[in-house]
Amino acid sequence: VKTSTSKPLSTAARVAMTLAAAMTMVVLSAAAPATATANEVNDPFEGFNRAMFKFNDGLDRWILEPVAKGWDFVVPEQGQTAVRNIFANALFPVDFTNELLQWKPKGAAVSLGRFVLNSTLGVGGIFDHGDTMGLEENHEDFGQTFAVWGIGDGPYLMLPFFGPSNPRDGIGMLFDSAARVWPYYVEDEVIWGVAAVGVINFRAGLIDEIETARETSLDYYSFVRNLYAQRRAAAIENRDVDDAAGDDSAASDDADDLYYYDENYDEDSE
Amino acid sequence: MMKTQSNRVATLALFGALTLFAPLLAPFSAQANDEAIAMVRQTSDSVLLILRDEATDSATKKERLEALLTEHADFPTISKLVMARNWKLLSAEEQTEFSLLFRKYLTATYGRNVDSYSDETVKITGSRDEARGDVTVQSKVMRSGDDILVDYRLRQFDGKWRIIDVVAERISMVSNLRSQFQEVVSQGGTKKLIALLREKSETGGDDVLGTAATK
Repeated sequence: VKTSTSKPLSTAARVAMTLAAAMTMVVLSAAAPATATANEVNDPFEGFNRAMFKFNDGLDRWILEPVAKGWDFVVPEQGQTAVRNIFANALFPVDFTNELLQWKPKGAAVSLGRFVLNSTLGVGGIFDHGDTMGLEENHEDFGQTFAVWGIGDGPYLMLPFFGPSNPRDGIGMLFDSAARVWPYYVEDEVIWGVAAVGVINFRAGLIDEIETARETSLDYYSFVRNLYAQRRAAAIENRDVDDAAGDDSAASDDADDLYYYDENYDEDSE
Repeated sequence: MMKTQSNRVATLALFGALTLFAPLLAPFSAQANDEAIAMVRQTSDSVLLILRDEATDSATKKERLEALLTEHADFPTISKLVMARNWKLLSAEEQTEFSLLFRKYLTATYGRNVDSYSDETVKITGSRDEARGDVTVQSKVMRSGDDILVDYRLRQFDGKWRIIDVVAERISMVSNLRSQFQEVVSQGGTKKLIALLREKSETGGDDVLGTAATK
């Protein structure tokens, strides 16, 4: 996210990188035929994506996972939760901006309330008092906002280092990064270090899950691809936010195709 | 004058019709959901009972879970949904073999962590009517960390509600498996799929017990 050492240059570099990446994403999404149904992921660059996936997975197995296991061994569960909470709390500017952009005033109010409460009584976000008071945690990013605005996701893209994405969410990620409040007076090395702690701590919370997925999936690549598609769809739809109230809206026909076995599949395809 | 009167008649007629039909319609759907909820509650209670039992070894626990799964999940339907258009690529014998292996695979996958039960409880949070008369029962697995949302999609077969999908944290198992199976079939055919299922249902489960025990 941040590359060079001196501050003005790093800002310029960040803007340049953002633009370059955004343009690449737009070109990619224009080049790929957009034909995705609810249950089939649009993945025209599967060859490239699989290569990137292999690269990321190797990086994880050799570096991130061992480090995360060490972290998990050393840092007690409360400590890991505290780190997780601090990072979640620091996402406030991104959440708040996007809740407003999607016109979710209630969500924005909840985020604001949580941020004030957790930053003060929660000592900089270490403790999540908001959750115990019924202000439930929810995150909104620019990828979700673009989706709400009606922008399609485009082809599935496995980004090196960052993992599963697509042009819409990838560009969204760049906006997220810009919407974050970077303390300009802090050295780059320190910010990198803090970001690394966040990543390691996040990975430490998924040790068992990823191990299970690797061992039990028939095809780990498509397991992750489907997981990403479903997670994003749920985040965009925001069912998890109001599930307590009960979501009575009928599922769309697209989503329901999953639960219908068509006896005439063969005739359809020929 | 005439107009208001005919309006009143129409309102009365409508009201009458509603009161006549309401008892026929409303309890039907409410009762259906109650039955579905009761079924999920009963099943999750049975699962918790198996997991809490410290006197039983993990192999027996897994057998019991598989029996429970066989009783409450509709494997013929799940097999078809997961395979979708690939189902017809299998011969009758292969379909039988697939269903058997698939059940074993699911038990191996979901039975991996039979020994890591701590203090989880299950709370039913609601239900939702779905297309084709299906019902989704929503539940929450309460534990020390973040709660896990688990939805069960149920369909009625001969008056009995059976599970046709499990949606954990908004991730549908049927959707995920369908996507993987489709990929395997398109790359290596149905033979590859059956071979992989056999491999994963045999080694996958055992290997995992090893890693679970050392943790």
